[in-house]
Amino acid sequence: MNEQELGQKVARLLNASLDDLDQDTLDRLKAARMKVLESTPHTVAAAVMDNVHTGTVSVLQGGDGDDGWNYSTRKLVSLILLLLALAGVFYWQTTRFDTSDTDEDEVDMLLLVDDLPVDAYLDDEMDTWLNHS
Amino acid sequence: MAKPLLTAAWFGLIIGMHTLSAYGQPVWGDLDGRQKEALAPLEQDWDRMEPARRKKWLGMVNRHPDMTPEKKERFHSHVRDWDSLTPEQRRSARDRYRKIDRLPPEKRHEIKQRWHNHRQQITGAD
Repeated sequence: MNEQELGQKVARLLNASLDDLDQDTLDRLKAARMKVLESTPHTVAAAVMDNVHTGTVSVLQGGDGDDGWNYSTRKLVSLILLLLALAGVFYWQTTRFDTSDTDEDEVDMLLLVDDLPVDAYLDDEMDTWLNHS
Repeated sequence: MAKPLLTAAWFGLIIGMHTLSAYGQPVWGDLDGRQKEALAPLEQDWDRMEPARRKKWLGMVNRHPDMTPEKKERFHSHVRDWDSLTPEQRRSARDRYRKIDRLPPEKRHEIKQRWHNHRQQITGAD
């Protein structure tokens, strides 16, 4: 008998004896399951219960006494917040080098139509002359 | 719990819309004739330019629709140099411009003349 056949035989035996479990054992198994889920973070427990669903208990209906703010809504809000954060980063990236300051634009315009070239205003000698004037 | 999250969502939506409006700056082909004429030296770079810079240039040009031919010519000759500067260089240039602009006309003229002489000495020495 190979390993797979042995596994299948054990599974058949376990399934056959499932109906023989008494109510006390079923209750204790259920209590143990609930205890593990209670010590698990709520969102994980909710996701697990969503899939496992015992038939008598649904943890999606709260579990840490929240206000009815359900799991899918939380997921949606998290997604919105993530998108907002990305938009914020993008906004910062696209505007960080310059602002739309009207006064600043006005100076830029005056500088651009000035009789001196732009280079002149980058010349450090200017500061020396300005300090002596 | 819901209220702060909804407030944050609204805040994000507003930022997102503002971002999209900044990002939706026109490409070169969408500019009108006057804008194209004023910004002609930037034509090659325009469509690759960051949206905020496009917005800034358009703002400047739109606020000054009636430039004299002389100013237009100066604007054209300076615009590419200005666009290639770093934000720090622009800040520095603005500061010096403001300082010179606050001087009495004769002092302003003197400083400009000194710069021209200085420039001639440098180019003459090359």
